[in-house]
Amino acid sequence: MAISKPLIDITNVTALAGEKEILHNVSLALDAGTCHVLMGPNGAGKSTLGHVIMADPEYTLSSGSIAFEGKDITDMPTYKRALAGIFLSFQAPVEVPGVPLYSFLRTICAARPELKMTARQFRKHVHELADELEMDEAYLTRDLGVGFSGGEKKKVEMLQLLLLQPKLAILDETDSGLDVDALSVVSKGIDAYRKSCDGTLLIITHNTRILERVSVDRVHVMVDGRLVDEGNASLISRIDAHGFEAYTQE
Amino acid sequence: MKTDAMTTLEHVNAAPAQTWNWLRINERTVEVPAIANISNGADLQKYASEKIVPEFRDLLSGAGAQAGAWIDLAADTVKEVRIAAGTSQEVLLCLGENEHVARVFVQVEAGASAHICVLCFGQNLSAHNVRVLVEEGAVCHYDMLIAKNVTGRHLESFSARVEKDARLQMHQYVLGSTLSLSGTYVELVGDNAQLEQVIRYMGEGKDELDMTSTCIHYGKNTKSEIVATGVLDDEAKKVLRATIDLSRGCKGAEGSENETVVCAGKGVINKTLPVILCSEDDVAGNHGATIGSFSPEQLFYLATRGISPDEAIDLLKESLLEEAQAHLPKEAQDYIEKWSERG
Amino acid sequence: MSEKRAKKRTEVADIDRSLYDFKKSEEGYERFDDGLSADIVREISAKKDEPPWMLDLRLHSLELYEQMKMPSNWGPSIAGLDMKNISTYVTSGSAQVDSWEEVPEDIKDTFERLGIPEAERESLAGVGAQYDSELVYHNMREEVAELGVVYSGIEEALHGPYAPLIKEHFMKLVPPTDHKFAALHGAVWSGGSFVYVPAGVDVPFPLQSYFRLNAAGAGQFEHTLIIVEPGANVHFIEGCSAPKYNVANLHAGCVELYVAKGARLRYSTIENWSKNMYNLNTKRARVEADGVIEWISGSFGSHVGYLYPSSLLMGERARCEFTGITFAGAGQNLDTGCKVHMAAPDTRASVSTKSISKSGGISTFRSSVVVTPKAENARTTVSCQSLMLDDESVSDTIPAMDVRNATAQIGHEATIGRISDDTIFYLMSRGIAEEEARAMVVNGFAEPISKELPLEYAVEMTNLIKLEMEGAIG
Repeated sequence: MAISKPLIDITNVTALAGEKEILHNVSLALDAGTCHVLMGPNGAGKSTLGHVIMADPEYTLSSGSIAFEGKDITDMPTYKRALAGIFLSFQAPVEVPGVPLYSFLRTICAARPELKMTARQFRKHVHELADELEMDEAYLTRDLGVGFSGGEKKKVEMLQLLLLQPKLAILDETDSGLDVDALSVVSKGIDAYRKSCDGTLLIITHNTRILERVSVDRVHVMVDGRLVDEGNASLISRIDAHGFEAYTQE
Repeated sequence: MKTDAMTTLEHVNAAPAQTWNWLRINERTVEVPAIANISNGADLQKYASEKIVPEFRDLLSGAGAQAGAWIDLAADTVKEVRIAAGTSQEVLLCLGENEHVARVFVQVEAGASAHICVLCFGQNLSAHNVRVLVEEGAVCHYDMLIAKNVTGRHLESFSARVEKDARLQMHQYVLGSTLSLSGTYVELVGDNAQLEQVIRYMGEGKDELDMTSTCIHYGKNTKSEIVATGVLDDEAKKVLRATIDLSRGCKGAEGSENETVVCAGKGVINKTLPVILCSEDDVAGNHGATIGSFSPEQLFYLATRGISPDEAIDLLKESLLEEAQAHLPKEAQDYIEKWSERG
Repeated sequence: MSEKRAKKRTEVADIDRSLYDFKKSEEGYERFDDGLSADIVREISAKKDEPPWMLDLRLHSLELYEQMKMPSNWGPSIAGLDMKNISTYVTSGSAQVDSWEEVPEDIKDTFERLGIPEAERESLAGVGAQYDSELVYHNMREEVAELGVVYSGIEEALHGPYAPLIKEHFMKLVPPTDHKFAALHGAVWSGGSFVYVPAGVDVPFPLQSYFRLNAAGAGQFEHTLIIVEPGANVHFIEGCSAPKYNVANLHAGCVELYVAKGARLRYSTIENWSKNMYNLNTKRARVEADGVIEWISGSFGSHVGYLYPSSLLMGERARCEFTGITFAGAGQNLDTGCKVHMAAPDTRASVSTKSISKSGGISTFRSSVVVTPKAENARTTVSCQSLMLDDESVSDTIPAMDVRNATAQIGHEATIGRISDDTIFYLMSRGIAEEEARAMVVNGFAEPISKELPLEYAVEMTNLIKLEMEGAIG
């Protein structure tokens, strides 16, 4: 349908973790400015797809290709994909002792010429974003992730999303275990991201509560490493009511 | 003190509880210019005792008795500061320009607040022996920077006694030089006394870092937290001995120490001796050490934010400098900027 | 609150040694003069009709022993041990036999009370029993012998076809220069076992050697040499005990383990010497590519103990697993731990230890992890937990790490504390009485170790750690 090329075009991707095939011949194209949800039961390979888009060395591609803005990125290393405008939020962000959050934010910002700002502007901007996410500013001077609670780590991920304004944001959310506060952090982050730029979203979850406040363009369903269904936002409530049984019984 | 004769200081930075000598981790010796007539390190102590302000006489020197005595005797700068109850004062010391070796006594009276900052920029040998009494309810901040300097050698000795409800906060930045020695010794004598110690270090080239940090808990409900983070590149060598001693009677005390080292260079030598001594049951002590390179998970996370694996080590180093800059007074900031520009 | 807590403290009983603490007469025994001299060393060697190289090694070791010093800056004091009062060689005079029926009544009774013949019948592939300085019994199941496995007294083996192999390996891993008591061992060693497992052989049941020191004021210096050839697999169990005397006894054994490519050796020890024992034992394993050494080490006895089984991981992917528990009660100063030396790529080590201190006992965990520049991608995790049962005891943790390869990953964690009130509260909230809850916690603390032991030893260990609860019901 789309006349222009999609922002990201995943074609026939088969991916392995070690010897084990996790994704089988997956194809997915997302147009710029749209919002997609990837749903599926636990262990379906949803997170793997997110990580494969970001070239996680845990996984190898045995076939298929990925293009971003019309350019083949299949062999591009992770950090270049990030600089090209792809963002992946983590379910469980790592800890990096020795690197205070503020230094980290400054570094990732400085790596992107399009985000050029003075030290003063940067400081002001980061503090505004922290305010918006109701994040305690004391965390800015702490080492990245070290001693942060789950909710705080989530805020840090959203803060980076808002700071970097990526063209494509892949939000990998846990299917369970998100408390009410963390849920609201994520929805707030999604809201702010959608407002601040014409970004494209791929939300990976089957926790439909995150999606209550988001206007979703397309829903994709993954089962056993295959995309098995696709539809508009109404698919969410259907899955909410009936689960994935219809797909798994096939 | 300018003389060609040298003295060997022994038992420098000694760990209070030692282990196999073949590991060469327990303590070290240091060659320093001899002070007139005293060729034997052990004799220094006799001569140095008169240099010590009486209230401080039974407080050990952080880097060891011989090192402390040598600094006391060699000092070209002497500061004896008393911060009156309820007041606040800064004590700043810049070593390397005109001052090289300093002997400092700071008495922080009840409820007073002190901010001690020692900056070591020397091209040659410099040293300081700082002793602090943190009296009841007082707060003392101690910031220390051994700046990166290819020719410098620095010897830090710091010791403190912390009384009831008093707090000591330490931030040490050891950024690498020919030889950076840092020995600290803290006694938490009063109930509820607290120590927070942050050590950040970096070694590059053939830098040698030798650090000892000892905290003894005597008072009830005392707390200590020692956190060391460092990055070692090229052929840098480092030793860190951290000891928490939960002595009998310190009921309710909690002590923790943690070190994270990222090793980047092929020729790096990293030695770690994290000791907990415990003679009390109603306490909690823990220590952890993580030594190695970035994990694949960390590298992937950083890469998803646009930082390449090669840049990850630089990120650590820059973060370290940035944090030092943020913490230290303007003199230090200016210096670090100057150094960064020189690149 | 804390006073109330103090009153309610769980009593963990002292180790029950009544099972072990019985003495037998030494009448008619041959006992060398106390003290140490070249003459005594020659006499021991002559008695054993040894090859000349062994006598040379003994005399050289004696010289080293006389020159060497104990470290002055670490370790428990051994001031109470005076070699002038220790007899280095005591024997009942009975020959080593392979049937319990032929073992003299007194000695047979000893091992029966310790449950050795019974264990042999039920679950062991072979047993060696040493009484003071000499082995009195050695036997192995026929089906195991048929696999080509050799399990015999080491002195016996020194006179047989394996003599060249023993010469090639004897005190090569633990040279007499290693430390003062390794030198002493080299000079006066006597007894001990030799195990040879041919390539590819999987020994179906454990082999066990039991060392009993009955004589007062004596030393036991057995030497254990185990060679596990490529791809072979064996479990060796070592037990030891002694009755308590008012004079010092000394144990300075030596264990040398050679684990070839792809081989696996599990070495389990329940050490339960009496509280007059100075235990200065040395154990070392050399592991080649893809080989595995597993140490299970329970230290319950001794007045003073120095024990650090060490693993030299010399081949690629060689692995070491160390699981240890130390219980230091009244009058005990136990300095235990392990050493790991990683000298090849992709080597792995995992160390997990527990220690319990009570009634003034001193327990020190001491370790070293050395990663050489060759050990690319080496991985080690060390975890030690210490439980303080009262405020008279001491528990120290002294781990050293020396890492010289940037690709290695070394993790270390240690905790010291007492039984947590939160844990007790949690268990009580689920309907468990406080005393029971405390017992559960202490047993649970030791469980990771006991579950690694063969069942009857696990039971023995649980018996050793007996809990007596204040105000226990009934």
